[in-house]
Amino acid sequence: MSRKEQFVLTQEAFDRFLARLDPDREQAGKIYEILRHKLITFFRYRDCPEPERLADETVDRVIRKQGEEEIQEVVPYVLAFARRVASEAHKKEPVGPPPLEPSPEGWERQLEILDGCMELLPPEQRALILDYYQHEKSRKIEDKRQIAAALRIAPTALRVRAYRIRRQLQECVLRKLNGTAEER
Amino acid sequence: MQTESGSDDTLIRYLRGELAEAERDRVEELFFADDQLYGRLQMLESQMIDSYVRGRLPPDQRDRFARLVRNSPEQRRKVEFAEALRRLADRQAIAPSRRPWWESVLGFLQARTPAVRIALAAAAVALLAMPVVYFQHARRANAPVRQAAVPQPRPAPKSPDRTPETPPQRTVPVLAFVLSPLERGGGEENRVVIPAGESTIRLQLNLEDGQIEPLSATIRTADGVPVGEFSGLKPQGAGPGQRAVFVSLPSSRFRDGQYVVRLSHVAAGGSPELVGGYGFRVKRAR
Repeated sequence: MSRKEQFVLTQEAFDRFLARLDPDREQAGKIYEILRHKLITFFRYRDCPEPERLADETVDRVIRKQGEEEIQEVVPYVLAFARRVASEAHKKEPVGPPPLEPSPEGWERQLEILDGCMELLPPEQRALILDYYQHEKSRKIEDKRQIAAALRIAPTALRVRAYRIRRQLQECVLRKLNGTAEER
Repeated sequence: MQTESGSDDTLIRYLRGELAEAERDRVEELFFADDQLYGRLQMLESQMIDSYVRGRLPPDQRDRFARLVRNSPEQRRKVEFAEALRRLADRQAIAPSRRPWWESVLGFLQARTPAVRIALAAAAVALLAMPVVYFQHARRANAPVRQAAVPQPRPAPKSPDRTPETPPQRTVPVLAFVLSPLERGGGEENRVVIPAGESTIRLQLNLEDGQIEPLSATIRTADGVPVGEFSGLKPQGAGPGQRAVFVSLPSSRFRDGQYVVRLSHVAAGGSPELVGGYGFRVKRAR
């Protein structure tokens, strides 16, 4: 194993990295989470295997580099590093477990949880998201226009509003899924 | 997927892997620098996932997207979530009222204790699980009650049950019926009573094995006259431990008499295999 592969991320090095993102630790944590998601998106759409692992590997390697060289702007530096990691990843075999397909067990579990999360929404939001997705089935742009007109908002605003509610639901489901996993 | 701006169009092409290298690099730089743009990209991605679970992506896009999903546990969870949301919305569409009736009653009584809610929800589930036909009242009959029950009514009446065949703004009652396979039904005759006037008949065909898909359904009279044909049906959750496929068609297709539904599965390159048979008798109210 090479010296580089033996690098172990310490709390101190990670804290230094967070401090570069923002002096306020809480804010830095939020920025880090977004940055990690952007990295996952980046690797996913570069068609790399294991985008989550590559995102973490990129951050680890940037943290290691911050001790060795001066980093002016963290985010562009992270992106530049990610490109290098992506290029390497295409030349290597994936090291993680074999990929999995979405499964009926997966969505059925989420459906159970989603029911509960839906109940937590204010009634008007619940009605909006259900209407929106029921009409999604019909594919009719006209249907969307009607919902938007009824709410007195532009169709674009309706799309954004539906997406925000959807994201809220998705976060709720994910939280509960993770909670269940932790309980086990 | 609709585009509303040139920027969306570029982002969509990014998601589809259609951009030239330089353009792709530029998009990456932009979304790394701009959280708002990244939020927009995520929104477009969620729409793409919805298209994927509804089988609306063209084959080449679908294959690429399936590979991306397999590569990433996070993406897999997103797809499973989209599937769950789709099924939940479809399941809600079976009910003729915009809100579940028990919720309206609860709102009316302002009795929102968990015990009452659980009891009523259990009653609703029990109703859905009945192996014989059930009938729900037309929305028109319920509307005044719902309006009285909801303190802040929804901004405008819209029809959640509307099918693509029905013009917008019209209120056509949806009558939902649950059918069990003939073998399991124990010989009980399912009776479908259709009231006078126009309505949509929605049949829930309960399955013995909910894992097989896609399925095709044909509805014929006892004499073999075709009434409706459906393909590409996907089993959905229909209550605890129950999976079913749903088909809808106008009530005008039915006359008094016996009908037979055949549910089949066609494996790739194979011949249709019968998955289930259902029977019901229609009685039209005069």
